[in-house]
Amino acid sequence: MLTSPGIINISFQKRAALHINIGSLSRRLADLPTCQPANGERITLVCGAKHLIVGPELDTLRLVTKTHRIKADAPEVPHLQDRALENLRFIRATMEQAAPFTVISGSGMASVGAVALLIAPLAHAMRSPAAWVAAWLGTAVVSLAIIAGASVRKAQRTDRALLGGAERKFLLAVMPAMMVGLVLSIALLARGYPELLPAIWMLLYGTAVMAGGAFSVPPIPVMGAVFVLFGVLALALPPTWGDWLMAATFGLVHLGFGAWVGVKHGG
Amino acid sequence: MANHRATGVPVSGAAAVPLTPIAGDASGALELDRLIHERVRLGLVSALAANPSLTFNQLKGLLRITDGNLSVHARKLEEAGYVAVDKSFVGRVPQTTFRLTEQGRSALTRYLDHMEAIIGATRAAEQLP
Repeated sequence: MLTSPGIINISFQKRAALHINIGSLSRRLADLPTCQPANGERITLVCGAKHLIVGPELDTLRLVTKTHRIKADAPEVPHLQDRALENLRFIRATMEQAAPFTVISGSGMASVGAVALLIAPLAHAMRSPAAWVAAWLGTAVVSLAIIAGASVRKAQRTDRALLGGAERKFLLAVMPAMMVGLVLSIALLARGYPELLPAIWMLLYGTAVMAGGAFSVPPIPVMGAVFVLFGVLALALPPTWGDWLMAATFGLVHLGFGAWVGVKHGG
Repeated sequence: MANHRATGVPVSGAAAVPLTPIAGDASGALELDRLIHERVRLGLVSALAANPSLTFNQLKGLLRITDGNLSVHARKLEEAGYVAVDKSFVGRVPQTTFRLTEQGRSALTRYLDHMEAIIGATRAAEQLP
């Protein structure tokens, strides 16, 4: 490393390349060292913004500064490129977190709604609780696959990280209520209360979506609130209404909010 | 006259290789924008670049900083003309809204160009034989 105290720092990243820590030097372009070619190597000076100084066939750097000294064993300055990359990553992460955008696919949500509308009459026709639960659980699995696939496609189409900062927070916020929903479903089914399941599913799915919606676009938490309201309604109405309320929420509500997200938030 | 320790070559004399801009007029771009380079202000400008406007509370939550910290940095950006501030009332509650000005957007673009130029130039340098 060559050091001119208070003026410049130059560090040899490799024999072939010189990097100038341009902090104060950028204001001293007139004082910038010039290069004197000698035997056989190329030296590149990286001087910030849009300046690249190349000395063809150099192996000697000649500095034209009034005060300089040579300090061969000085510690290496942090790599300029690493700092620049880190800054770019920070800008990207901040913009992703702040952007009014979601990788949750509106068309995927609408498709999930369509599937639920198709399944509701079939589930209503089931005679045994086990078959009824199997029909809705099957729908849930298919819906999960649809929404995951559509979201991956949306992330690829919009050149956005599928699991960026906001999306990771969304998943973390959604998971607890979904897990509780699974546990309660098993418990209620085991104890012979399947008629309570539609209300529980709506309430906990709504809670999960509202929690995750804090890290997503405005329609998502609103959709969660609608599910919660319908869940309360399902508790108040006779159990025979369960499938139709499921169709209204997991079907129509998904369709409506899916269209909203699709139109207003990137597809 | 001093000598280069490694090579023994004299370290003074006239310029032999001129400075060569990679592209465009770098007179403004060469200077790193210290106003944006500071981490909180960089976050503030980046967040506003992704939104038409953000409220004080939204920015505070997004950047996870205190009221005072946000106020200080936002004022510096406002004084530089990078950020415009609107104060209004929502009901009886005062609300401060920030948006990025054209000047601020240009400054962020210049800063991004600056970082990309550094990365590009460094990589090119590392690939030299």
